[in-house]
Amino acid sequence: MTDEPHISISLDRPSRQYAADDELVARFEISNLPAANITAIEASVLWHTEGTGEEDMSAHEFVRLLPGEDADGDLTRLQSLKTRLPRSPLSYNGKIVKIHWVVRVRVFVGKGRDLVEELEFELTPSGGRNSDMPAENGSGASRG
Amino acid sequence: MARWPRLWEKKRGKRRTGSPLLGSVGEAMFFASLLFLGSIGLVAVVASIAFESVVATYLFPEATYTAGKCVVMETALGEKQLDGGAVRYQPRILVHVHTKTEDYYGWTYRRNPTWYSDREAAEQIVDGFRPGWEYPCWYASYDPSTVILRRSTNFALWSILLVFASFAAIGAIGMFYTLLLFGASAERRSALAKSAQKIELIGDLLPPSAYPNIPSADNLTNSPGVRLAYRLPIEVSPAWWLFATLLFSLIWSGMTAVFALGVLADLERREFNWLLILLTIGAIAVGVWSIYHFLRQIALHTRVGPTYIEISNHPLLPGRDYNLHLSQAGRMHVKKMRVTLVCEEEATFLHGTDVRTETAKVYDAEVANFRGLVIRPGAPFEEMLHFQIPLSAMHSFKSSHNAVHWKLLVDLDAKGAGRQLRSFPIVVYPPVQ
Repeated sequence: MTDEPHISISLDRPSRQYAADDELVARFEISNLPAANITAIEASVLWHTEGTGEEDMSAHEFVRLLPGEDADGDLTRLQSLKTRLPRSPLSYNGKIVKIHWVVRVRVFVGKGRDLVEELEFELTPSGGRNSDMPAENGSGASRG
Repeated sequence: MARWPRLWEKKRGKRRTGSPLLGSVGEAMFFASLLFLGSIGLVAVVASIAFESVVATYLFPEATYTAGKCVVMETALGEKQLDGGAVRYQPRILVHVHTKTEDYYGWTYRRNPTWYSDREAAEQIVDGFRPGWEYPCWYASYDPSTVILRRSTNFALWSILLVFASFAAIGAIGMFYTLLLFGASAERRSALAKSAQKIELIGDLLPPSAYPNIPSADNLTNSPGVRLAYRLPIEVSPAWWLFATLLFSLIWSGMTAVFALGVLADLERREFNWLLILLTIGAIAVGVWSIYHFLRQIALHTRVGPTYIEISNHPLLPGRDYNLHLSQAGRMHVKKMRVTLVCEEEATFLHGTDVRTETAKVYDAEVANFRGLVIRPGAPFEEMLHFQIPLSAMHSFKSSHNAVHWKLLVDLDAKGAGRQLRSFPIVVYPPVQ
């Protein structure tokens, strides 16, 4: 265990597989960081590309939480984000173009510094995942 | 030791260089400069006209004139004979203008004397003024002898004002947008851009889409087919290439003709400008080649006629079978004609200062392959085919720098016409149950 600030994200489906039009519920919590140090939290459900080309990104759902807006002012407690997923673009793992869906939480700790944590999930066609859909399972990634 | 932040952003694999903060500052400074330049320019132009500065009276004299009233005393038609014997006519009006400081009498009409070749036109202007009547006129407040009865539209002034106003408007909007997004995360910028699309004015201009980032298929369904539901548009029409060849040939021939006339005129005077002669010979050679190329293109396009593809349904969905009607017109012996269903990924990226596009074929399935066909005029080759979008297929996708394209390709190899590749884009949607 370290005393480093940490953002934990979890999804309502442990498989992290969602179909188009499904509802996604993400929960996130911040640990080892005093609530007073947090200036804002941004939570988003977004897709971004990866590969040879310049990275494209589009936020499907976005919420910005500020200390004053919260009932008890403590932004470190467990928060949730709920959204209905779109029909496209689906997760894709191509040769030079890849599309990743992630839940990203960004915590601003003042002076322009931020902590970011994201959890990848898979968006598949409606009616269940195709067995041969070329998409990887999501994995968590952390940057600080 | 602290690293000096990079001013320019660059993509190195998955890593990016450059400072977003510096980028925002640079953006803000750029728009601030535009706003400053535009505002200063506007103020300077308006103030110089209002205060009748030397610059304004020199550049836009009529804009600085004061509006007043003139009494017409007398009218006349000036005449002058040119060297060739032609006669020109000038309307002349004697006016009396009473300013705050002095009275002035003088002949005038416009600021720049206008001479008409048509006597009737000049007389008509003169007849428009009656002695003893009062008319609107304009004069320089410091010098009433500059009085005029007709003021020209000052296009230069309006153009300059428009340019400065555009600079100021672009700068102000850009500054507002940059400050709004200053220090904002990429997600917040994206969310703001998305919410801007929901604004009624902008939203009305954009087509509603149940499938974000899938290209619109409107262009695929607006042309009904004869045998099947829709006739697909061709990606790049051969007619455009033919037109470009014709245009080049015409422009080059015209330029060559000018050179050739110059050479002929020199030869007539028994002068030999060898550089011009060599240039003309070179230009004639290119001109002959361009005409030959154009005639060859015409021969090819009359030999290899249009290719039509019609499909039974739209949207196209993975896992489904579709009918395809192929029609190939012309007058040729086809060695080989192959129809394929292709999926390509496309990525655009910055390489140094160049913008490059890379493509990768990720699916290529043969729909049909014909050999040894003889196509005669008036009897196009027609065939009903079937194809399937694979169940594992990725749907069509388009974002700013990345795309997944689906298309039907017709690869035709005919005797005497070479190989021609014709592409028909299609749009594939995600599978639905």
